[in-house]
Amino acid sequence: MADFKATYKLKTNPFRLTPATNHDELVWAGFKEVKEKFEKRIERSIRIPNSTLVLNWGEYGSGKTHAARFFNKKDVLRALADKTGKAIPYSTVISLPKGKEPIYSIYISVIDKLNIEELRNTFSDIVGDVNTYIDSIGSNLHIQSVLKAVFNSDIQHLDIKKYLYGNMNATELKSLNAAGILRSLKDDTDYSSILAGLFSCLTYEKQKYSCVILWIDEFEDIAVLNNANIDKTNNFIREILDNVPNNFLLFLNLTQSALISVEDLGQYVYESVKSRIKERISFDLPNPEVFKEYLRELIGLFREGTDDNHYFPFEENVIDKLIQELGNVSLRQFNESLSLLLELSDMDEKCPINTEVFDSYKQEIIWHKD
Amino acid sequence: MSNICCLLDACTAINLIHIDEDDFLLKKIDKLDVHINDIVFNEIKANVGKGIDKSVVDRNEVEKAIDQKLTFFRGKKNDNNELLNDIGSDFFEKIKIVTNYSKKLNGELYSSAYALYLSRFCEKKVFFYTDDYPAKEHFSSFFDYQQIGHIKDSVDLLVLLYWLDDKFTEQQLDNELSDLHSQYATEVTILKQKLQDFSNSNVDAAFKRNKKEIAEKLKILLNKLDKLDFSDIGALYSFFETNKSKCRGILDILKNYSSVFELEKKSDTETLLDKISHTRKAVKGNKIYKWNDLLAD
Repeated sequence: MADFKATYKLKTNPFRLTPATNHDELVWAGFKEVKEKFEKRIERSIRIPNSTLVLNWGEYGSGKTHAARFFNKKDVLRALADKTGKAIPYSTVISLPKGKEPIYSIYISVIDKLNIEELRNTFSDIVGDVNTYIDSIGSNLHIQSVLKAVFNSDIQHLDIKKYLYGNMNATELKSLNAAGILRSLKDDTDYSSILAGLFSCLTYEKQKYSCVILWIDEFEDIAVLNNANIDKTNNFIREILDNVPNNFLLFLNLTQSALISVEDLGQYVYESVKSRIKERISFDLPNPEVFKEYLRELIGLFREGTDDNHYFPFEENVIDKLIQELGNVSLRQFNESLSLLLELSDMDEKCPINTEVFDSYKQEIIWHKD
Repeated sequence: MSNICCLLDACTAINLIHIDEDDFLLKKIDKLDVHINDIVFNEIKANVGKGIDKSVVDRNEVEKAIDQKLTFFRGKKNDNNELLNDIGSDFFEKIKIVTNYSKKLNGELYSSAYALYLSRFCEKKVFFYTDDYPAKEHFSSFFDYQQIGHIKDSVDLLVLLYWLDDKFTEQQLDNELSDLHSQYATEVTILKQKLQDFSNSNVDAAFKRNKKEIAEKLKILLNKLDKLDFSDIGALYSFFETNKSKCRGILDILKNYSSVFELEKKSDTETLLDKISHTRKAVKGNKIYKWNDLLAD
């Protein structure tokens, strides 16, 4: 095989379907309107104190998960925060659990990503103020003690992490008694209260983090839950929004599927949650112009050196032919076909990728669902 | 004990074990004349652990609860050695031939043969409960011709338990049906996700070129799972099984979610998932009468 970079003038295959392991490869191309909507929404949450629920809606492969990953990047969030002169948001992406204990699973996903050592360093100069603030959150003394322990450097960070995971036995728990922690966390109310308290503390006076952004991806999987867990999930969202009235931005990524359509959405997402949705961001199937703009930008971001043809190694008429062949499909399907086309050309050392090359691979790269 | 003779297949018993909370269903099933074939019980024992949610807080506790429930089903199983001593050692083989069953001897074949035995021995109609739709389709004519009884599924069993028990409320029935739906829908969703992950990580141009048919069939299976179209999925499973040397990774995934392939149906019939949804809606609009309802009317 020829040297990929030199031949195709690309750093790597830009159309890969697996999540990028290299952070720099997680880029945003085209779809300016959608990007602006997210930027505005996040900037708004950075600036103002209100908590917000946003529903991201689109077909499978339309870019919702990518948006979550992109806007979860620290450099992207830092740039948005810098525009407003406020602190960076604390952002986390989780998938809606499909198991029998969804709230516990959501809680564990957040705790998994909580770096207590880093948190304590960040909050070391305002820990007194945070403790005073914790006293003002609700009336549950146990939850207040746990929250204080999270920020208290006198307690080993691994001990508190173990406690949050529910892995402390009765003897070990005694070591936390002096901190006012006399029992284990035991039910969904505890888990929701800890998360709500934690989110509120993280964004105390917007000093260290301007807001908490939680992305729940694959929210359509609520349709595979049973009645009890659909209830629990709806109640969790309602409660977390009520109990974190400030500085909280919750994105729900929802894909229309055979199990969940627009018509039966109400069966799974209760009115109490729907009424709290402030904005719906739609990921529409790209029209030819939108797709070509995306492609130019994407290739530009992966360009090695320069080329007058913005689509190089593809000739523009190849892109037009591909659009024509695939018809109205998701971005994912376009990427899949282009990825295969590029890889096949590389294997057979064909460059540039013109209509002749495209035609020779057409059967291998185009797959119609129906 | 009710007069209704119920024979349970492994999938139905496993579903009951997983969806039952506080022995609510088991206490009701205990009032029925329940039977399980020896071999089927072994299948239950071997496969019930696969369905435990990986994220549960206390797995030991869940396993303990399952063991207790298994004890209940153990009490309902027969002894095939005794049966074969009574009626001849080639009984199951004979039924395999009579029913034109081409697969190797499995739980559904043993259950169908055992149903014949029960019907003749007890002089009762037997209701065989299985969610294995391909098996249901295969053995239905045998049940009809031999006047053994009927082949039903877990939805029918739940509805039976509902109308037999005055205290079983409509909301509880809906919850049980919702649990059953969740059981299967979760399996389908996770299987689809695992296959999609496999495809994203492995199916590149080289794979497509070297294993063209495998890539093609994988795509077809993914598309079917996406649309909840279970027609002919058994043939896809068999394809991957036949070509296991070329697609070990795919087959390993399929084996872990084999219950999904029991959802296969003829293209003109409804799937179990559809049936659950329809039944939930129907029960709300069209009452299923209990004895007390007749008296009240």
